[in-house]
Amino acid sequence: MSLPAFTLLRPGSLEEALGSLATHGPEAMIVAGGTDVVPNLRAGLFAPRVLVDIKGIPALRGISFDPKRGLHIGALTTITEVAESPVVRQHYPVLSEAAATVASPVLRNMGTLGGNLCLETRCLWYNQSYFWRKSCGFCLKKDGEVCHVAPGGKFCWAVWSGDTAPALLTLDAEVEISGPRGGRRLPLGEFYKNDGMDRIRLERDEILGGVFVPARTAGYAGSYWKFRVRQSIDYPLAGVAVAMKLTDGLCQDVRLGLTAVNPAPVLVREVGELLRGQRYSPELVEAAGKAVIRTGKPLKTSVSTPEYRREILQVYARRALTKLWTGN
Amino acid sequence: MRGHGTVNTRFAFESLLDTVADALGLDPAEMRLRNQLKPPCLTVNQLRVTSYGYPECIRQVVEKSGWKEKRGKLPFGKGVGIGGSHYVSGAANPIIRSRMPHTTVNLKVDRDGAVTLYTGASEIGQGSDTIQAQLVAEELGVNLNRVKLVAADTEVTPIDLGSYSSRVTFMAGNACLDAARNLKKKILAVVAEQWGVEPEVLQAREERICVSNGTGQSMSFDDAVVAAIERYGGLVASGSYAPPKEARGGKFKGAGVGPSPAYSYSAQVAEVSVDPETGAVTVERITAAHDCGRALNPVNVEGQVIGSVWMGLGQALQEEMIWNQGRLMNPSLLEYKSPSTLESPQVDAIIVESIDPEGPLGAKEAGEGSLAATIPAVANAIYDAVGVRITSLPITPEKILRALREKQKQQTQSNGGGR
Repeated sequence: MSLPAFTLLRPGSLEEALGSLATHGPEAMIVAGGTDVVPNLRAGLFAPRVLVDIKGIPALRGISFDPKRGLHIGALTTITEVAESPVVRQHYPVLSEAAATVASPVLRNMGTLGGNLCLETRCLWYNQSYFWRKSCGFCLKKDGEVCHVAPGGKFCWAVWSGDTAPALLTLDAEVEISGPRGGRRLPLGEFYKNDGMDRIRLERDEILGGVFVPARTAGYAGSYWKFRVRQSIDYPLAGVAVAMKLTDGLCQDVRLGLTAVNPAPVLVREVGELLRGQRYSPELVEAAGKAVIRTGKPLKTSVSTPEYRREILQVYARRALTKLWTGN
Repeated sequence: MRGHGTVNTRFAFESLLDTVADALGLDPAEMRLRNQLKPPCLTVNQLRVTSYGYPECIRQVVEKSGWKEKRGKLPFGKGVGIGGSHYVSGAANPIIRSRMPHTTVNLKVDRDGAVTLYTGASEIGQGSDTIQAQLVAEELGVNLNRVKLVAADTEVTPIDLGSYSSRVTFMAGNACLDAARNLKKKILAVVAEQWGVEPEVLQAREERICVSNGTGQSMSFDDAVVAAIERYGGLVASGSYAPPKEARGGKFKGAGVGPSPAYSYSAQVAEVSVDPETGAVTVERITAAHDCGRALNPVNVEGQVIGSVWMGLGQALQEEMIWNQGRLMNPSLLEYKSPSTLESPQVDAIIVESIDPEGPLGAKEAGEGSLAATIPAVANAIYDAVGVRITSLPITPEKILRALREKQKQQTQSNGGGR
């Protein structure tokens, strides 16, 4: 479980970093906080010849809010900074709630928002030591031919296990990507491919520079519910993020995002269709809970069973909606 | 692993006691109190019980936890449960078939008054170095800072059988007392000769050797050491401990495993909340009483009790090795879920001192005994909270939810299917 040999590059600017990525091509890998990359390197899941440490690029750090345009967060902003930011808390509470549940205080201090949005997908058969994977027989995602979650299939079901992505999805966030061909912006929903093997639309020579959240979702009430065995350290086993706009008890708009049950963080469109323009009723909330498990499809990717995670998705969806709608 | 062999059986036993109490309509704490030993006695399986604080442990946790006001009276989803346990203060029969003592220690005093204790006992975080040094200092009547330990270095330390079975305080502790008494005898003999008195009238206390006949004559420990070294050329002593024959158990098959020179006792009350929609358990508070004989170091005892409770909570609710075709599915500490600080409730540790006649200054074990009481206390509290009894560990939210559904189904059926 020791680190493999690699060359560490520490560019001081975005241009320099992009240059390094262009030079080393597929042999290079980006590292920021390192809280995801380093354990995976130790487990032998990645073997980059070059690690490009982008932490020394000040331009990629910081939070700014403009009431007319929206919120901008640099990719290198730490999860702690996001969780504790007064503007985030005031205007986009679902994001601060989600950020505050990531891992543990120490990991939040190291981990970055960009890193959290680019997390490697997770699976019981993938996040194991090299020795373990070899003894078991390698899996589709790494070195093997078989998916141990759904044997016979050729699809990788490793789950998206980030906390901030579902929250940002409910806020219509966009990601800013820099590359040798210039910059581009992508709705966060399109950034994820829903493929456990190849999770994000980020080329090997590109860098996720920041996140933009539009002004139109500022002020949405928000709540994030995370299921895990321990209330600290753990990745989510199922998670529900809700952002809602209410006027005198009338639901003007609502988005519900899921995490840790599919290969991508996903919005449950049906919930918006069901609840928009409605007033609270237990029946509506119950129906929304049912809709959630038509989108969220947990499989045997963790030691917690899919059946229980489906239960939890419904309960958490009902609780999140009820809390925002009725205040309790 | 701690408390091997006792923890899982204790979970079963104490869960069954709760079931019996429920069936008989008795308060489970009261039922336990009605079925106590009357020491000194031999149990049915030939264990010799010399000191017994179990009834006091039960009374204390019942009182401090608010048991009588809470049991069966809290709203659905909240409950209290009681569990008990006992444990050996070391195995009376050595795992090594030999007649040598279970522990030997050597003491050496230098001319500057520094006391060095050579002990084979291993400090593994439980505080045994402190306890051994305390016992030597106490017996010699000197300050703790005079005592230096050289521990578990097989090149220079004599044999101790090991840090297991919660044996070190009792066995190495008794050996330390024995060595200190032997050493003191040598010192007092020299002082008695100088003063022309019998050694029996001399006492070692507060860094001095004094006469207890009221004349007020005294000498500093330093001067006494110098005099003793001038007399003997060197000042050393050994001490050892082996459990008495009467403590070693019966003659029937298997009787050799389990006997101990003394037994500790624990009782705990757990207070929990159970979320009936998710099955999630929150442990709100644990009240834990432990009979450790005399508490040689109360802070250390409390630490051991709290640590045991914490470990018990992990086994009760979260920790599990999951196997699939012979392969451990959760071999890392990320996926093997020991509790974090956020799952660690308030623990009120209560010390009960039964004073054992053979323990070092009356002490018994405080290491593993508390662990086994936590798990059934939590399980019984869950039963009190939501009326389902889970008989396998860990008690996961999923198991509780399944049991709740099952119970609901049965109730619906017995009501003729109507609501």
